[in-house]
Amino acid sequence: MRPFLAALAFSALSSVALADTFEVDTSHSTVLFRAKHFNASYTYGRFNDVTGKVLWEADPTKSVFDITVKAASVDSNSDKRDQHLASPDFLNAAQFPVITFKSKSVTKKSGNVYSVTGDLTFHGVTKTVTTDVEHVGTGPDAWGGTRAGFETTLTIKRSEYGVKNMLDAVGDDIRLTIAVEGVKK
Amino acid sequence: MDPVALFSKAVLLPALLGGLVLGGAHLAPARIQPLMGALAMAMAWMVGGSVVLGAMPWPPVEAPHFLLLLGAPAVVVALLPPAAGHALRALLAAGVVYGMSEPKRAYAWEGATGPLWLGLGLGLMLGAWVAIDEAARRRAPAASALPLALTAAVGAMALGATGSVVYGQLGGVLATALGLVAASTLRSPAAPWSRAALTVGTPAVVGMLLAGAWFSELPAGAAVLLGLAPLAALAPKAEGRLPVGPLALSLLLSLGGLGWGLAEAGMGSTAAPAGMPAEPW
Repeated sequence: MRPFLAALAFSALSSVALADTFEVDTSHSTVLFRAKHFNASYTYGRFNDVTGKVLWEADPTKSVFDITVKAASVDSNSDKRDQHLASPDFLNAAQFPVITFKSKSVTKKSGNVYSVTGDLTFHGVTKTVTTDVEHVGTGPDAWGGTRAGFETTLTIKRSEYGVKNMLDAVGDDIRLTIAVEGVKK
Repeated sequence: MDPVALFSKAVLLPALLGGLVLGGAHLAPARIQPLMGALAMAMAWMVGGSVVLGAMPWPPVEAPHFLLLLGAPAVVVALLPPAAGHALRALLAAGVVYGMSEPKRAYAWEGATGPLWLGLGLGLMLGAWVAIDEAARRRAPAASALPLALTAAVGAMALGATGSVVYGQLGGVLATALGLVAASTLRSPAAPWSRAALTVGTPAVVGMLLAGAWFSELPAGAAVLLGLAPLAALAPKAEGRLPVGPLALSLLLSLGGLGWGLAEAGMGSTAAPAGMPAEPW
């Protein structure tokens, strides 16, 4: 019985030790968005304030992604446009200050690509989305720490999240590229 | 946005709904005319506003949702005697101001800012609500209807010009419906349906101004000036079909608010297509 309990304890400790928590490094993380403008071109912008953490397990299918984006940090290279994007016509950033993604399941697809399903809360509306996330890599940094990077691209329909204004000027499909770099804690 | 769709949503629909019920009020027995007036305003606001905003969530989430929902209990307020009506006004105004300010209280306001805004918001909403009702009871409803309709119209311009087309459209719904009421008071200055309709419309007008200051870019000073404009209903020289005193004071206050908003937004000279920001971006 004793050897069994010891093995069980060792196993539990091992699994704890193999889970790494990476805190998102805002200055090396990006959420890009792309929207059609008057059906003429794609306009790009980004959110500058991305935080959160990634719990990266030895068995990646048990990993957890928890990302938060401040809506008011929208940056499309035009102050007037940013002000309007943050207004009640679009993001309503004062009413809905954060956009969040919390994963619920991770399955391996191929190589370093994982299918991640989770709840995306945007403009106060929560919907379950599934997206392919690439584990870009994990490696040491110059200060003795360890960093890991993840990236995904997905497209959402803003109207499904209640952002329905000016659909003839700004397209319904919003392509998001989420690239986060985390520092191991 | 297509200008025809914009006109249909923010002007034609509320005018049609409000006009139909107000028209019915003319023909209805005197005892149900206040109910008809209140229903006309509530229908124009709640249906017109819902068309602009889309399906209403429950519980209400965004500030305008609270103001649209307020249309229903405001019908009850309109039918109560003054003391009971004012008590219910105070309860409803406190609840709505508190409810619609939730994100600001949770994420933005720190220290004394929250209580100050809550006090100011409640004071403006309740002050206008009581003043419009008292003026409409003691004087001809025209003295209340014209300043309130004017505030709604200028407020809609200020909301639209300072950052939110949607808020401007909602203001347009209110301005249209209240404009109808004001027009009806010119023909029948003491019609009983007018006071009831104004009771339903007043908190929505002030509430939209608060929403503009809290969630859009309407400057606080502009919102306060515009929020004070309905109090002009109590100004002197209110006799006759055209209440010159209240009208002039409300015009002064509301145009002051609009000017403040335009000055801070750095706008005023660019003609924008309907439903679009003042400058291309």
